[in-house]
Formats: sequence, structure tokens, C-alpha cells
Amino acid sequence: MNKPITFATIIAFLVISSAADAASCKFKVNEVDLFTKQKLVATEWYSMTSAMSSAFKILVADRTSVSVAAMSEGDQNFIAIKLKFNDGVYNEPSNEDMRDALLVEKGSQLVIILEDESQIVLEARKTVRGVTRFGDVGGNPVVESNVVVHYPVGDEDIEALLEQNAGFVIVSATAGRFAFLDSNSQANFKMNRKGRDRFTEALTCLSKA
Amino acid sequence: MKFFVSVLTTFAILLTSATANAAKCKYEDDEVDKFTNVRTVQSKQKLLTSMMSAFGRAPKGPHAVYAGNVTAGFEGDDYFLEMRILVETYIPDKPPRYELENAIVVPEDSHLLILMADGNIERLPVSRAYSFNSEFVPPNGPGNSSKNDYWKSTEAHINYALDEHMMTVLTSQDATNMRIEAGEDYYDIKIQKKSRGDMAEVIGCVQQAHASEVPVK
Repeated sequence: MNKPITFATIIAFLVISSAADAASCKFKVNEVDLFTKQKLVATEWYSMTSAMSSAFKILVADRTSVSVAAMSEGDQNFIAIKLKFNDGVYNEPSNEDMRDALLVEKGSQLVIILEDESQIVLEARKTVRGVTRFGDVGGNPVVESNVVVHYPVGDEDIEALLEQNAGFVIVSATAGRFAFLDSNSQANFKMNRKGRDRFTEALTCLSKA
Repeated sequence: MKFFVSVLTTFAILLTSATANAAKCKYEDDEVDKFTNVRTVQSKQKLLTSMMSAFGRAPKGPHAVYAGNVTAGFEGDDYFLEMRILVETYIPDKPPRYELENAIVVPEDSHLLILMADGNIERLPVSRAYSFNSEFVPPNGPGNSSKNDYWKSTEAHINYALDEHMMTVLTSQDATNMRIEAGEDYYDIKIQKKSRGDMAEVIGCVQQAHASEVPVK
């Protein structure tokens, strides 16, 4: 009698755990486009900034953040990166400064450095201009810029990303007069454990849609 | 006597339906250019999207159209279909000027895609390139119901060329959805059930006006 009960328990456990796993994937989009007839899938945004580092960043008035989502249009998969930068200013910037604050041109690179130090290099699908605002954080005037960039990604690269952890993410862009990027016109993000898990989660969810 | 009554009844029905049909067609423009002698007629616009959007059930997402109207017309012998759309969003901060400029850009090689009731997709070429700017209203400003957010809106009127064949195709059945191509972007209109015959109706009206030498307005 013991054996059938154990077997049933294992089956029940497997069913429940797989259901929970599927339920944990939240999709912003999961539909067939009426005009192109392609299946469109987009996962929720997964923040790659841990709660601790977020709290620290708020303390030092640094609102830089990075989030990731996985998307697909028909057979083409994409990794989407949402970046937020800010920089302190003395006066309200001009319209031109706001316009040129952040630009990611078509073909700009996203470099993902894996744990074994191999690299995955992806290129931006199209030119995207940052959405830039002038405001204040804790009474200090700041300029904040947000941008969402889509990078087409092949099956081999997705497999590599699922096999081992990503250590660094490097985004190339063009910044105006604000200190959003380093001297190489890049933003570097070291992935913490939570960020790595979320990166993998986004890609796993995409394969389940 | 019976024969007389039935003839009278038939005549009355015909008269009533003809009047109703004529009443259906309304026009916002019918004039002849004094210099070129070219006649321009444009039908009144018809709302394709649901009025429910005015009660907080606005379609969401980057491709959603808050309000979409259709009208048709002709200039001389050139027919056109005109889409009038309003795209809007509420944002917490004042948008910078650069963001308001060229908010919707429709390049010359763009199309209007129309999903017909039978599942076929028809494509109308845009008449010329267009570019539209956005406007914003501060919180609590005229037309902005939000106390905290800026209301940013873009209104676009876009003409698409119609030929005889396309007019026959578009008036033969209802349309359910439309997509306005705008460069790498697009805007989608889900036509509410009661408006699915409206595009065919406005095209029919301008064809009727073209056939008539008497001004329709």
C-alpha cells in the first residue's frame, strides 16, 4: 500500500510544482498579431537590481537601474533591456540637451559576459531615443533618462545564457552632456545573484510561452 | 382596390427607404475651386472606436488609439479615405519640447491595413508623407481630468488613396480592425461592432456625391 501512495504523492508533487512554475511566468503580451499572424510574447520586466542595492541607491540619490524582459515575434527572439540613468544638474537643461541626453543607435552593442568569460554580443534592433525629464530628488535638481532597447538573440545564445550565468552586462550608447555613461560610451552592470536569476527566469518563461 | 393599395404601399416603402438612405449620407465639405474648377467633397467623419474609452476604459499600450474616425472624399476624380486618430497618454512630468515634435511620423511608403470580416487584409497606400506634433495640458488644465498628471495627446489626419477596385472591395463587406503604419511604429484601431459598416458607408456616400451634379451640402 505504501508504494502506490508514494507514487501518487510524487505525481501530485510534480503536477503542482510544474503548475506553480508555469504560473510564475507573467506575460505582458501573449497573443497572435491580427495583421502579421505572428505570435507575440513579452515577459514582465524583471529588475536586475537587488532590494539591498536599491535601498543604498536611494540613500545616495542614485536612481540608475536596469531591468530585463524576453520577447519574441514569430521565430525571432529578443532580449529587452530597460535602463534608467540620472545625473545632478544646477539649472534646467535646454531642449537640445534633453533631446541629446541618451541615444541608442541601431546596431549598438549589448555585450553579455558569461561566467567562463566568453561573450555574447547582440546588436540593437533600431535606434531609440531616451525619454528624458528634469525634476528633483530630495530637493536636488536632476535629469533622468529612460530607454528601452530590443536586441535580437539567436537560439544558440539563449542556450548559452541558460547553461551558465551572466556576470556582466555592457550597454553601448551615445550620451549628451550628462554623466550617464563611462568614457567609452558604455554602461556596465555587474550582475548580482538575483539579477542572474531574473535574467534566466525571463528566458525560461519565453521558451514556455 | 387591392392592387391600388399594394402599389401605394410599395411606393411608400420605396420612398421611405430612399429618404432614409439619403439621410444617412452627411457631408462636411462640397465646394468647387474658383480657379481650378475642381470639385472637392468630403463625407462627415464616423467614429470607429468605442465611446466607452471616454469613461476610463481607454485601450492601453504603445499602439493603442484612444479615438479613431474615418471619412472619405474626392478631389476631382481622385478618391481618398481619411483616418483621424487621437493618441493620448498621461505622464507625471512636463514633457520637453523635443518629445512633442514629430510625435507621429508617417513616411511616404506607409499603408493603412484593413482587416475585413472575411479575414482578408487590404492595403491602402498613404497619399503623402505626414508628421504630427503632440500637445500637452498640465494637471487640472482644460480637458485634463487628472489632478496630478500631464495629458499628452497627438491628433493625426492621414489620407490614403482609393481606386475603383479598392472601393468595390471595401464596400463589399464590413471591416473589423485597422492598422496605421507609421515608420517603425504602428497604431491599431479595433472597430466597435456597430461601426463595422461605417467605412463602406462613407465610401458609398462620396461615390453617390460624385455621381450627382447637384451639390450635396
